[in-house]
Amino acid sequence: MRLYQPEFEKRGVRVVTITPTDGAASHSVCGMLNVPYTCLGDPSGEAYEAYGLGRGGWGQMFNFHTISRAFFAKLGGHRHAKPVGDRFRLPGAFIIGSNGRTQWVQRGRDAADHASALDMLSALDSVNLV
Amino acid sequence: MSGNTGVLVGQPALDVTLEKGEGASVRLSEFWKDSPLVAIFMRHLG
Repeated sequence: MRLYQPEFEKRGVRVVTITPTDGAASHSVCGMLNVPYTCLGDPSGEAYEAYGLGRGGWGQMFNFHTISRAFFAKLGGHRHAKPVGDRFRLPGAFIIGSNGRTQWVQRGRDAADHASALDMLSALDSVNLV
Repeated sequence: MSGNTGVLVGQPALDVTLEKGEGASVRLSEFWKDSPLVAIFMRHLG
């Protein structure tokens, strides 16, 4: 995601990342990882629920897709800190126009089903951004 | 998993309240009022 920050900037959009933690934890870890986007927390999970991102079951956390994604991420050198927050939240991404209307939606069907930066850039190029 | 289907394309986005660092709160609409917004909900932090 970090590598694509100039591409998001070029398209004139703001990017925020939301985590199921309090704001201080989100801010602190984003600082450590040099995340170039605004980092916000949703400790109660209300925002996740409002956007239709519920808590997954065990089958959505541990299945062939999630385990193989984790394996290949590790093989590719991906490292992460000890997870903080509700580990059962499902991921998602939304493009919202400056008129407040939802323009694109991606909701994860399992823990590893998240939009890549390229997916989001492609979506930004395909919608009529307002 | 929740039965809530959440917002759909074309519908108004929901203006939820989120936490910034140091416990301050902010509304999501603050980030879309001047330009389009990409809101990424992470599975967890770390």
